Amino acid sequence: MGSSLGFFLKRNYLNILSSDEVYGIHIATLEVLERTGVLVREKRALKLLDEAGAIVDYKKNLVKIPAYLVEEAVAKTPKSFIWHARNPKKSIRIGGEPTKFGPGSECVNIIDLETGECRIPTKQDAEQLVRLMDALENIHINYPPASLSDVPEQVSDIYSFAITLKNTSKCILGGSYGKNSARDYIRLATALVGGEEELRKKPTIACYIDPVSPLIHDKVMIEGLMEYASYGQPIFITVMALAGATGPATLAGILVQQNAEILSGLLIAHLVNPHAPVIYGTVSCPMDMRTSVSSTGSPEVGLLGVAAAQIARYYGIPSDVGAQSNAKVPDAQASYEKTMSLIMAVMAGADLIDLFAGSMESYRTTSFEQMVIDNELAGRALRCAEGIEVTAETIAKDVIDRVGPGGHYLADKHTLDWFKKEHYRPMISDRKTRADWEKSGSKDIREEARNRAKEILASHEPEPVDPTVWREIEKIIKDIEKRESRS
Amino acid sequence: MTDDILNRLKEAVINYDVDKAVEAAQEVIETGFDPLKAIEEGLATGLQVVGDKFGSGEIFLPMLMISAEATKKALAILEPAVEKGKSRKVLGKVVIGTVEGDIHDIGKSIVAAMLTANGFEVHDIGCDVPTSKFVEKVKAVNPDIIGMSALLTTTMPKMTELIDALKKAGLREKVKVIVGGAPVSAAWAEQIGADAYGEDAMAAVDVVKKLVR
Repeated sequence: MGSSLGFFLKRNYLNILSSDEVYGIHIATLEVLERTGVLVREKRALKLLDEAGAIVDYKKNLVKIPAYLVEEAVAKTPKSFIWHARNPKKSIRIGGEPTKFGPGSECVNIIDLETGECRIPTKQDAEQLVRLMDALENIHINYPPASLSDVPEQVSDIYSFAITLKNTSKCILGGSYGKNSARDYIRLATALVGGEEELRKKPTIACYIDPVSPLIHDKVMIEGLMEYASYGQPIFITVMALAGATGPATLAGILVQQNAEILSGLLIAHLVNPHAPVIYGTVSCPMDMRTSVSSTGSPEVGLLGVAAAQIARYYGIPSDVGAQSNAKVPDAQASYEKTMSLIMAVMAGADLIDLFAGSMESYRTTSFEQMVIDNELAGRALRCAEGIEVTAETIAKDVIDRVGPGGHYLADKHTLDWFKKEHYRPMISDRKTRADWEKSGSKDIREEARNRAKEILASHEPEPVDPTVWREIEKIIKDIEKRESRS
Repeated sequence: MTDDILNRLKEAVINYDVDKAVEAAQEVIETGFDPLKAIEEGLATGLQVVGDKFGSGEIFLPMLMISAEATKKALAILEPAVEKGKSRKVLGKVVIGTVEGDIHDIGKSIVAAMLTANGFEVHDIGCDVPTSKFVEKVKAVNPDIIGMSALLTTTMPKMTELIDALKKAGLREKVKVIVGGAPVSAAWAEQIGADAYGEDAMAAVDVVKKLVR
C-alpha cells in the first residue's frame, strides 16, 4: 500500500464550485434537514435521533434535525481509514489517496464472453468476474457485480458472498438488506478475520446504504447501516436521485437534497458508533425526460461527481462518485460516457469510484470486455490526476541545452530516467502501426479486451483462503442455508 | 358556450395548466353542463393530443405528468356529478402499485400517468403495497390489468407472491398481470407467469393496450 499522500496534497484538485458555493450548499442543506426533515422508517433509529435532540414525529416517521447535531457528527467522522483486505498488500487507505475503483452494482444481465449475447448471469459468471477483477491492477474493491440466476433465491446473496470470499484477496463488500442479512455477512467477515475484536479494529467488510430520494431512509437499509456501524465497518451512503423526478431538476438542488440524505444517514451511523467510517456517495443523474431512464452516462454526472467530491472534502469525509453509461454493449458510447465522468471525478480527487468497472446500461448489464477496458480507463484517469511535476529536473533546462537545436533526446540519460515515470503505458490500447495492426488481425478494442479477459481467466488463480478459515466459513454458510430452507 | 367550456378543458390539459382545468371543471358543475360530455369531449380529447405529442417526441415527460395531474384534478370534480348508471368510456381499468418492501415510487407513477393520458382508468395504490392489499383492490374495482413494479432485486419475489395469491383467490383468470421496474425483464415476466413486461413507460402503455384488446 504505497502512500503518495505527500504527492497528492501538492497538486490542485479539479473544482467546479467556488468555496462560497460549497458553503451555500452546506447552509441550504442544514435548512432542509431542520425545516423539511427526513423520513426514517426504523424505530430504533428514530429513538436514537430523538434522544440526541432531533424533533421526531413517530407517527409520520419524520425527523427534523438541528444543525448542531449534523455538524457534530460530521466533525467526528473519520477523515481517513484503512479498508483491510484479506491480503494486507491489497488493503487500501481511503482519504487523501489516489482514487480507488470497484465494480458496478448487481447487474441483471451479462454479455456472454464467447457469444456476445446478452443473457442472465450465473454462478459461474460471478466467479469469473470476481477472479478477473482480482487480477486487474486498477480494481481495488471486488464483489460479484451480477445477480445469480441459477441458485435458490433465498440463499443467492450468501452464495454470491462465498464467491467473493473465495476468489479475491482484495477489499470486499457485504449485503445490508435488513438486520438478519447484515448479521450473516458480519458473521462471515468475523470468521474471515479471526474474531469479533479483530473485525472491530479492522474495517474489512463495507456495505451500501441507499437512501430513497427524496429524503427517505428505508427500514431495511437503516437496519443494515446500524449493524455495520456497530461493528465499525465502512458504510457507503450512496444516493441515486434522478434530477427532475426524485430530486430537483437543477444540479445545485440535487447537491443540496442528496447532501441532506447522506448527512442524515451519517448522523444515524454516528449515533450508533461515533467512529464508524462513512463514505459520502452519490450516483445521482438526470432522468431522461423522453424515456424516463436514468441518464447515468450524461455529462451532468461528471459535474455532480466533481461537486460531490468537493463537498465531501469540505466535510473531511471520503467520497464515492459515479462513472456509468447508458450504452447496451461495450461500444464507443460505453467508453466515452464512462471516461467523461471518470476523468472529472478522478481529477477532482474523489476517493472512490465504485459502481463502475464492467457495468453499463445504468447498472443493469455487466461485461468482461468492458471490465478490462474500464481497468485501462482507470489507469489513464489516474495518470491525468498525477498532473505535471514541475521541478528543476523535470523542467530540464540543462538537458535542452545539452541536446541543443536539431539534436535528439532518445539517447540522453534524462530520457532513460524519466520516460517510464512520466509516460503512461496502455494495457490494451493499440499503438501499433497500421501495417502491424492489420498483420495481427485488425482487432478492435472490444476484441482485444475479450482476448485479455480470456487470457486472465485461463491463468489467474486467486490466493487461497486458509483451509481452517474456509472450513469455518463453509460451516456458517451451511447454517444459513439450513435456516433459510426452514423459513 | 358549449364549445367554449369544452375547449377550455381541452386547452387546460394540452397546456399543462392544473389551475385552469380545475376552474373549468368547477364551471361545468356550476352551470349544470353535462359532466360526462365535459370528460369525454373536453378532458379526453385534450389528453389524446398530449399523448400523441409525447409519442411523437414533441413534448417531454414533465409536461405529460402535469397534464395527467390536471386531468385527475378535473375528474375528481366531474366524476361524482355523472348521472348514476352512466360512466365515462375508458380503454380499461388498471390497478397499479410498487410491491411490498419497495418504496420506489417514481417509475410506477410515470406509468400510471401515461396510462391515464392514454385513456385508462388508473387506480394507483402507491408503493410498499402488501400482496393482500393488491388482492383486495382487485376485488373492489374489478380491473382488467394489474401492474406491479419493483426496483430492488430483493423485492422481485413479491411479484411471484401476488400471482400466486391471485390464483388462490380465483382471480388470476379475470385479470392480466404486467410487471416492470429496472431489474425486471421479459425473461423474468415469463418465469413468474405474468402476462406481459413493460420495458419502459411507453412500452407499458402499448402492452396494456394490446392486453385489453
